[in-house]
Amino acid sequence: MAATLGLSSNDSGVIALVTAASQQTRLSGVCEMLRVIAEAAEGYGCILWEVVPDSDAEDAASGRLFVLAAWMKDPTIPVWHYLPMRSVTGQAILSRRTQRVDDVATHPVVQENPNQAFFERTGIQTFCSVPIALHGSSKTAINIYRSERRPFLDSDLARIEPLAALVPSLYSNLRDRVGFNLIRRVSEVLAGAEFWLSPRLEHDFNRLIADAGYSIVAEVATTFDCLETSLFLEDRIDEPGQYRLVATTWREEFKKGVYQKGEGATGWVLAQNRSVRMYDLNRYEEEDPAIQIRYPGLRWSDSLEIVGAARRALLLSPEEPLPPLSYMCAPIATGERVLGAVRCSVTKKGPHYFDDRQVEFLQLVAGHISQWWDNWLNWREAKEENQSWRALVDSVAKMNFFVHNELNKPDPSESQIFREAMRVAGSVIPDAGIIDVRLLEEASRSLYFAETYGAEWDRGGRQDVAKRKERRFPLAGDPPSAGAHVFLTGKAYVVEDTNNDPYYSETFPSTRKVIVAPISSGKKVFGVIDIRRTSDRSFPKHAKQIAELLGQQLGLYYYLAIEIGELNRAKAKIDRSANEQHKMYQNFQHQLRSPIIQAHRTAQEALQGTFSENAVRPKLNALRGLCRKAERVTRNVGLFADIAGGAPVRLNPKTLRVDEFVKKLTLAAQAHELLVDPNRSVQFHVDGKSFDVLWSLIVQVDHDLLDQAVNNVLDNAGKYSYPKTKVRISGGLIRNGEWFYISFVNQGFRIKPSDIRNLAERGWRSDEARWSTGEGSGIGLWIVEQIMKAHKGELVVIPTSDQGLTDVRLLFPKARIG
Amino acid sequence: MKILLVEDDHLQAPSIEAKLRKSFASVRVDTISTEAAFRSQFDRIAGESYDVVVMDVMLRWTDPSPQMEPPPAEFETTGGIYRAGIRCRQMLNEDQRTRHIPVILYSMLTQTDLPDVKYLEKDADGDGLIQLIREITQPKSR
Repeated sequence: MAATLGLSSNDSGVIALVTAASQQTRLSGVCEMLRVIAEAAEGYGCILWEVVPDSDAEDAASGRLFVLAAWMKDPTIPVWHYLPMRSVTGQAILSRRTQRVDDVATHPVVQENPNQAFFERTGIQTFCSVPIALHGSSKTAINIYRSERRPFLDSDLARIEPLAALVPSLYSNLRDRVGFNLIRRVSEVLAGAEFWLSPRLEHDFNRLIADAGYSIVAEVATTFDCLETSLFLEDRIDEPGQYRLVATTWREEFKKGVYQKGEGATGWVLAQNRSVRMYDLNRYEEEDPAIQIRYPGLRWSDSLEIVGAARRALLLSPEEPLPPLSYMCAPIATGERVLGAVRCSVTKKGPHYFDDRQVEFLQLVAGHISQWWDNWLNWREAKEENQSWRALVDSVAKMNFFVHNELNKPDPSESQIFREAMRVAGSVIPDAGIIDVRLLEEASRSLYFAETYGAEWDRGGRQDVAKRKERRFPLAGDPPSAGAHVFLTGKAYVVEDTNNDPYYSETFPSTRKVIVAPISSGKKVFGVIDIRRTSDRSFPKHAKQIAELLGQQLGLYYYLAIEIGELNRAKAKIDRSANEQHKMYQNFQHQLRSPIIQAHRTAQEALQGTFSENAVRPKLNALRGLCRKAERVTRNVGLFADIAGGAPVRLNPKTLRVDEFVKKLTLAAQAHELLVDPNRSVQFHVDGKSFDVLWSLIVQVDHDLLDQAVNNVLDNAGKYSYPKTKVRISGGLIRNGEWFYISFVNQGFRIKPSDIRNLAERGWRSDEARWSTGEGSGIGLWIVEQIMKAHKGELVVIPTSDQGLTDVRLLFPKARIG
Repeated sequence: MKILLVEDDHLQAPSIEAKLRKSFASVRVDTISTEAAFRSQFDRIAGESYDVVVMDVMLRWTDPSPQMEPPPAEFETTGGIYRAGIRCRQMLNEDQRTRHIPVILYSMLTQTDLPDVKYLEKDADGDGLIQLIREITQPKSR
């Protein structure tokens, strides 16, 4: 046929080689090219030998060759895979000249090599070795073997050598063609998957990802004819730092489905963001020094039992030699961020070694995957964000309704509002299982847990729970806790890693991530909301914004609740005040009429001789007390009316004289003692001596008003003292002797520090006071305070001591004479 | 005759008691001075078959003491000390054993303070009270 077309046999060989090469769609098509050359040379088989990478080709002693690709007439006959450089093929490569072996049985070099079994099994008798520059360097040779003793003549070589010379460019062409074809198909697969990932369509996305991943690894494995192609991807949203197996062509059990950076060769790729290529995993130990130079720190410790698995997959018996178990792995990265890795290992046919160009193609595939995966993650994040915001908007609308109802109640509960907000946070932020609201405790300037949400809070023993909930976070901590930091700065903060965060202060050992957002309104920060996550999954970016927004909403609600509460309290106070006023007038009525009627009644009884002689004096004293009481109440009412009407308390100041005052005080004390139910046995004692201090300074008072103030205090002491106790009245100097005071110490109802500001409030009476007296308007101390103010003095109530003593003091400044 | 006097003013109670003793022969007057005491002694009161109860309206809940028993929840909403006597009268009215006992509300308050309540205003000589008790306790002639 060639002669008919006017082609030489050499030309026809070239045409056959080019045609065969151009028809190949896989890289193993190189074996077809070897077939064409073998047939053109009338040979039994053809093998492409290459110097083992990183071995010293010049060193005949240590240098080695391996089978890159082979074609044999009988494909069931296993080829041997390695040759020393001290071989005919090695000589051909080193000398860059074709070598011929006319008789393998007698050739001294051939006889030295351990490939006799191959020659015996195939019946090969003669061969030639033609050096070629496959990868741009002369480290490759094509050997053609004949099974009959027909030495290769010059005319044979004249046919063979041009064909062999074409192999590098044809192989390069084939490699690029299948490589680009692979890229195109991968691109199509990903484009298809991207279409299905459209936000308009609802699908089982995990299934889509797995399907797309499998299509990609299948394309890569087919193109490179490898047993294993595996794809690992990091779901940076759900499992940051975990590179999970998405798809693989490996049929054996995959023991390692997840990689982390630094684990084995794949982990090295993930950590370094660099590709790795290893010539033969079977020779890893021997090649390790060269690997360490190329990939410092790489330790291949995969649990994949590669050698046994490769032998099973390649249907090789334990005695048969393995081809190089080549390996390459490329990072899937976008910029500096590594999203995953794609790796190939163990080729089924030649070429048995992944060269630089194949690594480049794998990197291109990785580049496509990275774009696609990044898009997918971004899209998913956007979708989640969108859903979260939608849920948030919906929840906030409902929350507003809830808060509106709550705030309409007479006494709105901030607690209910916080709980509702925490419920919303839990529903819109995925995996936000432990939530709380911390508010400022003014007394300790610390944050405390005002409200908690999530079952985790109540886990453990009662003491553990109490200890957890009663923690305080001082604003002045050094460093401040995350909550205090947020409270002070007014800005949200995300604790990404609870083990390594300068501000994080542990409440739950299981917490991994925390968002702390301020609860604020305008510039005023009321507290913080904490949203905790126990998984390693990072919060989505928008979670912080959601927490901030919730914090602002809460701040607004809290502010509103405070304001509305104040308003309601003010209104209640006005209502109460109207009610109290009514009661106050009833009281006045009662207090005015009782002593008058009783005094009248007592006077009549005395006149009618109803009492025994012994009872007359006390009764007359009581009568005097009743008259004084009537006078005091009348005066109180008058003062109340004047002061409430805006009139000033008018003073008629005169110097307070010791003897005169002590006498008055003693009489007043006696009268009050008589007005107390004798069954309660409350005694009044005036420490007259203590008033001698008045000799050392001049105090000017309105005597009538002082009487009024003293009697009001004594009246309270009589009403509110416990039975069988004593009311002690004494005088003294304080404030460097510049002030005079009258002290009334009694043992009765406890006055707490928090009661102090209420005591002198008009109409205010403690519960105990209201329950234990049948009358009393609650204006006694208020009037005392007005009287003291008019004197530029003070009414001071010292809260009840541990001994149960309450001290009420009237303080007068020293008179300024002249 | 047995009279229960519920009066918390330790100055008024002996005077009223003396007036009752003077006005009614062989009268027994028992005195209770707080609402808490009235409630805690209610069973005893029910067993005594009083002929009349003289009840002050403004009564303290209890005497001051370190172990003061707080009043019931409805205390404040039903008028506190200002309507204690009315609450006690209601207890008497609602109990089978005591609903027949006439109760005289006897108060220092005026009709303005107790617009919807029938009561007797306290006066200086106590004659009004004596007259009312006589009206209540003496059998009416046909």
